[in-house]
Amino acid sequence: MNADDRGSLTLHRAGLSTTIQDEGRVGQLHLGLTTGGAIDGFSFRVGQRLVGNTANAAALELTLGDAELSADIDIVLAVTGAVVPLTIDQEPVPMNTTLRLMRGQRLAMGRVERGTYSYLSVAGGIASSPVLGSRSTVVREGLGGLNGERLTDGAQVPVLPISSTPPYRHARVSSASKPGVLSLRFIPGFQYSLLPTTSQEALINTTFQVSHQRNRMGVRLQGNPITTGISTLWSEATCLGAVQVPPDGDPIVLLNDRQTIGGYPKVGALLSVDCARLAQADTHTQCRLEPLSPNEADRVLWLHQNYERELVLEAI
Amino acid sequence: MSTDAITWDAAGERGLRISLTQAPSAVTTAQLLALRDALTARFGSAIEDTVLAYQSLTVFWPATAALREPLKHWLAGYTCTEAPQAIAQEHIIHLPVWYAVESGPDLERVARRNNLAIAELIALHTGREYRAYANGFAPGFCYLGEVDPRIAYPRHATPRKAIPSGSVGIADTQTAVYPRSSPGGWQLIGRCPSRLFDLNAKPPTRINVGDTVIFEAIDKHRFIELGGSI
Repeated sequence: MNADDRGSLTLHRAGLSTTIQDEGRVGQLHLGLTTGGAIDGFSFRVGQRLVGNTANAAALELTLGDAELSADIDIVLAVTGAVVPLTIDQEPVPMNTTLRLMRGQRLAMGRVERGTYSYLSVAGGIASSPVLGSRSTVVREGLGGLNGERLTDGAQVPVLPISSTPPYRHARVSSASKPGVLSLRFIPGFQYSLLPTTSQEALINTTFQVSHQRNRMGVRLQGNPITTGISTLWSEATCLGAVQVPPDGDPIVLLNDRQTIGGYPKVGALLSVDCARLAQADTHTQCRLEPLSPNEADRVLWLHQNYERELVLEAI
Repeated sequence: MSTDAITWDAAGERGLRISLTQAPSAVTTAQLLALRDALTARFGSAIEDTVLAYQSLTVFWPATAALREPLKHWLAGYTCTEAPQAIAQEHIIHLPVWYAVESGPDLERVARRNNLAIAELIALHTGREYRAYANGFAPGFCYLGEVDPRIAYPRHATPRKAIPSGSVGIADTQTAVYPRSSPGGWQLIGRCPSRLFDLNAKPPTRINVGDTVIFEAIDKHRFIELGGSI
């Protein structure tokens, strides 16, 4: 690979929080390193397919849209995830579609219309240096991405070269969540069985609201506070989707950038697919926790994997 | 869901938390290490990751592996090793610490509230071996226990927004070194110039669960000589 083949993106406007993400830094929890990775894995992977990237190339994850960029070479890209108005040199272009951005053209992303996290995938992938097998940025750890940091206005992001241009295609996916109350399926576990029965019932019968205290580490829910009756606990592993209940009683759902171990009681963990739906939901969205058994969870996940595998990209 | 000494339950869609019923101790940690090694030997690459903590070992598997039932079945027939190899092979790490009011903003108060002279507190902190119980919080951070009860002290009610890298802290009977600048609520009694996380090292974490850590008092001059920055 010749260094001259490499182009780079310039982020003229970086948006609220933009990071380089891939499938995550998997298998390093034993070192105390969290996984990071695209919060909405499905949207991320659809984007990677649209630009012809193989597994675990890296993309940009943008929060609430509002960004602008150009490239110093001709590139092929796609934007997936949270719905944002898109233009290339002021001409509207569609999401979930393979697009060509010529050298010097401007891709502008307006403020988000629905959802939280959008993915900008580039054919070839982002060329930042992998750390322990992943390019994912975890700001709290200062690892991955470019110097372990968020991308700021003016950032130059290197792109890997491609050998051939991918076909131009469209993915018929809906980023719209169903109207009404968001159902979050969780597998009870950890300290769930130690909770008073009234608290177990409250957990399932409370309609919570997605609070504004939310980021890549976790999402805080608000509702009737849940009393765990547990005051001391030896710190133990967390996991993706773990529903942590601190002393104030408002549950926090832990996401990709969570601390790997923690000392607050946990009542179970959301399914990964529902972690993504929660993270994408608008602030103030109402939600309910719905318990299901590990075996039921396996079935739900199998159906999702199957749906994703059979998702056909349409030629355009 | 359990045998006499261990219990297990779901840790999300592809994890199982295995807990020992006894209190945390060097023996508990050694048993957890033995359990981890036995699991790794039995299931190999079907295990994606393991997280050791005070009383628990949590096992995760990749989305492609259906490990829940085989793991439970195996655990039902597992007996905790009484005399684990891990104890015999202990790995001792000596960490230099510059204990001073200048390097440890809480040193004076923790000593005073415990009715100790600063020198006595330092002697007690350096006077015993600590066991590494869990890696987490930040890259290279390792929870060590237990300090002499005479120097134990609760966390700050409100954590500091930023504390310098290398800060040595106490939280109740735990002690630890903050490997990099981060927010934190522990009582700071000194600073360690040693690098505790290095991506080029294998493993990148200097202290790992099961290791023994001994702190040694150094002065400011030596702290700078060893690479510490003020």
